[in-house]
Amino acid sequence: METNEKIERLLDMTEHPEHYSEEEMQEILADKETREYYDLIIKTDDAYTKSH
Amino acid sequence: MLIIKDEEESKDIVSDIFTSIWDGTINPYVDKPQNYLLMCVRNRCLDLLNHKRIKERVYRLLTLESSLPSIAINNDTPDMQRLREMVDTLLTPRDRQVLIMKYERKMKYREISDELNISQVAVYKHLSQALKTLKANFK
Repeated sequence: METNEKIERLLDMTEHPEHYSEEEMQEILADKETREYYDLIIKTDDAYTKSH
Repeated sequence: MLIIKDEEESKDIVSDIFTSIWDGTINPYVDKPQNYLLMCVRNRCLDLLNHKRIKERVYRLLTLESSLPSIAINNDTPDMQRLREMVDTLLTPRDRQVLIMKYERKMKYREISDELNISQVAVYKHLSQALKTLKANFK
């Protein structure tokens, strides 16, 4: 799967987790690159949440 | 019975109901409109709680398994400051705008696409591009 596709799927999962089963989430996050992007999303979110 | 304890969220739910009536998603012109509207509010509250539970589950799953300890830090850190600097200096204006709307203003993708008059697919593309740029430079 291409990086863009991985990121877009991750973005969709974080916006609409109710559309994914726990198994699907675990499968998505088992991918190393996807996890790295998720960590970055968390940091980015924190960077704009915790600075206020 | 108190379903949602946060006053702002409660107001948002009621506001959403009125928006749905306005755009025709909800038709309150039934036999007992008051009961119908109360049921709509109750269902929205339950949807919100369910959504929150799922989100918390995902967050817990990810943070528990994450190898990066910085996720648990509560204060503004040099890493966070550096990330904001990178957002300001490295991203294209549009990528930056979308990222700020998402992570600072906490907007939904649909709201971003509506405000910028672009498709949700375009919102995903801008965010993806922004994240790729940040990842390439955030070591």
